[in-house]
Amino acid sequence: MESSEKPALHKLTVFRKQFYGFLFAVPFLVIFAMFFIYPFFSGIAVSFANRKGEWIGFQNYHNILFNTEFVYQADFLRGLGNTLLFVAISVPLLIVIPLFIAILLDIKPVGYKFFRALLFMPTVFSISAVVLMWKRVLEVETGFVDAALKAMGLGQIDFLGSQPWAWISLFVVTVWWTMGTNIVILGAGLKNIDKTVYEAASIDGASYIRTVFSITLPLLAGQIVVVLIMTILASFNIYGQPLLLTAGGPDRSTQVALMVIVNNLFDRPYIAASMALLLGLIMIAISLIQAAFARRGKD
Amino acid sequence: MNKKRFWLSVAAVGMAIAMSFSLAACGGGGETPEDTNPTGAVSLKLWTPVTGADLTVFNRMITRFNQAHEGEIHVDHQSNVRDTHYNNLKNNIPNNGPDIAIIHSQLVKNYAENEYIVPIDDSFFTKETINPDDYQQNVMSTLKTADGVLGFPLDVHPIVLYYNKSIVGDNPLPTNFTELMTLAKKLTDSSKGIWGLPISTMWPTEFTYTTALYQEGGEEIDTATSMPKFNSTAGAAAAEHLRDIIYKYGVSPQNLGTDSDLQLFTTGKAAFHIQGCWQLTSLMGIFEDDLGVMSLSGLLTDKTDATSKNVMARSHVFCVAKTKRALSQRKKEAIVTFIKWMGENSAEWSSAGQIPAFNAARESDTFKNAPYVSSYGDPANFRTAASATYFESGFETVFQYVTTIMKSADSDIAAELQKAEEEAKRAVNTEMNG
Repeated sequence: MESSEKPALHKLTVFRKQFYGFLFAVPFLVIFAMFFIYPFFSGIAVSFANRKGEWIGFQNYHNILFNTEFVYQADFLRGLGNTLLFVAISVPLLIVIPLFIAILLDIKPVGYKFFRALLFMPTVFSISAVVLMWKRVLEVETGFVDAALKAMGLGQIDFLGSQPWAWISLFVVTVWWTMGTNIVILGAGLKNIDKTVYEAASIDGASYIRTVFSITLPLLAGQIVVVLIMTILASFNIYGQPLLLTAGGPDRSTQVALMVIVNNLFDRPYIAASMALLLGLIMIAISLIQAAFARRGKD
Repeated sequence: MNKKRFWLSVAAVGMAIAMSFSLAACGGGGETPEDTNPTGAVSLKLWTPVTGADLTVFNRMITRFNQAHEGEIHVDHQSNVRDTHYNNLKNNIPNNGPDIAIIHSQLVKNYAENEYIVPIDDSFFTKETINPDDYQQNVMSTLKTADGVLGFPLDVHPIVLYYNKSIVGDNPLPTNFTELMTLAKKLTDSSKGIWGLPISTMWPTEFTYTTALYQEGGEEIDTATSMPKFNSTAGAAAAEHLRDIIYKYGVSPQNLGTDSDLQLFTTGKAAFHIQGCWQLTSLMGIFEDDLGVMSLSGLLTDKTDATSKNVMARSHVFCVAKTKRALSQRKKEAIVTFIKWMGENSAEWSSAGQIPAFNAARESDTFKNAPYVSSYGDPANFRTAASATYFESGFETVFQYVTTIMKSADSDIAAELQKAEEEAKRAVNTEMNG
């Protein structure tokens, strides 16, 4: 800074110098504003309006939660309940099973690279391909499992059209399809654990199981929290599997919240926006609670 | 950086941001001049839900139309699967929608009520006219209003009964429900894995239940109020027939999902198969000479009165989309020319397995010589949906309850239909007030 330059003039000079840098960010900022900020606030605004676009305050939220005269009230509450059920069961499965597999792979048994690739492979498939494959396995009369059951002289199981089989099928397909990512993250965490810690434990006479619970899991806590948060958020967004595999049935028992939102999207966008925001608020609340627990655990 | 360059940069960034926001905000709407293509011809945007084998035939017709009207009218056709098509219409009309859209007959009144389409009134017919009497009246009568007509139908597409000739053999074909069940039972051979009439509990229940309902003398809804009328003796009898196919007569496996019945038929494990006529070209390719087709008229009831011959059908209807773009007289005339031409040339559409709604097309040699299409039965028996604003809400709620009924031999039909009726009433109320 030249000693003769006044502070205000100096600020302007610095701003001018930095302005070209800001220009480089403009394309991103413009696209971000158009496709993220504008739709976000537009969605919020729509949720407070009626069919004609008039402001009606929280009426849509009241209708969704309490007005039994409208079909979407029961639909949303049922969908939300089904989503919570899916999250409650799929998340533990998607933590425990990948963790177990990651620990097994970390031992580097014969052919572990092949199995690692095999277990990760479903993750790269699209949901349509996954569902097509599993339909060929689970469908009544034309499916592989049905044929196997028949060959063994056992009765028919309607995996996709009766409960609890429809839910079990959805959990199996979801775990099969998505666990690859969690295996990779947890496997990377395992690689970062200093092997000398295991050696020290071994010298002290700790069994393998003891090292898993006393060394592996505590030192993997950071990755487990990341995987937990990612998996919960992904599970709340469950949509493709029940839509394509069970069509929300039987009796809408697998119709999840996102399916209900999409059903209302084009006929009642104001209701769909309100439902989406309610679901978003629930997800934010759960993420904050998780983060608080994670912080407390760290402390 | 000199001052001039600096302020020029600020101005450029400001303009870029302002333009992007104006684009995002207005969505490309507003009144623009009439669309013309580089040759000066009137350009018509047409959106349809025509897909699969039908699309090949439909595109061939559009190409022929464009060639016949070169320099005058050019139709740009965009097709999507059904759900995407309707979502696109709702999302884009009136700002960025098409000029003409094909809408299924049962939805037309709702789309008119919600101002997605406009009536084709006298102002369209300054150059050419289209006479509604030239079209099949079962459909056309549902499209007439005081302001004009809501559209002109291209076709009528019913469900039909396909059969495998090598399995059915020389057995006489059935004429009522009891005969159909008797023959299906005779042809069911568990040792060979062959079923008489496999039926899905999910699709095309919409068509099978409605046909059974009509044949039992029932109605879907009250056309004035859109409120349900299916919870009746006829409605219960229709559901019972479908359930009996699976449990009483045992001619279908239990719990078949969507298209599992079709798969059994195409793999030679089913004697009969109920499916839409739109599946014809695909089945012809698979079966060649072994494919048989017959009307479902009277086959889902043992009654013999007039309504027992009814078969549920849908229709693709050409409608004029509401648009913010200028709809000049020239464009209106082009729309009429296109719709009229498609009707007059719709005999070709029968090669996709569809029945033309234009009466003269059904009298043509092209139609009469189209394979199998004449076996669909008398078009006078093809019954399209009752015309009501909230038809989908008032009636289509019932199908998931029919699925429940078909999933158990002990299902309580009366209780399920009662639940369906209550939900349908709430659905109509939601449409009107929600």
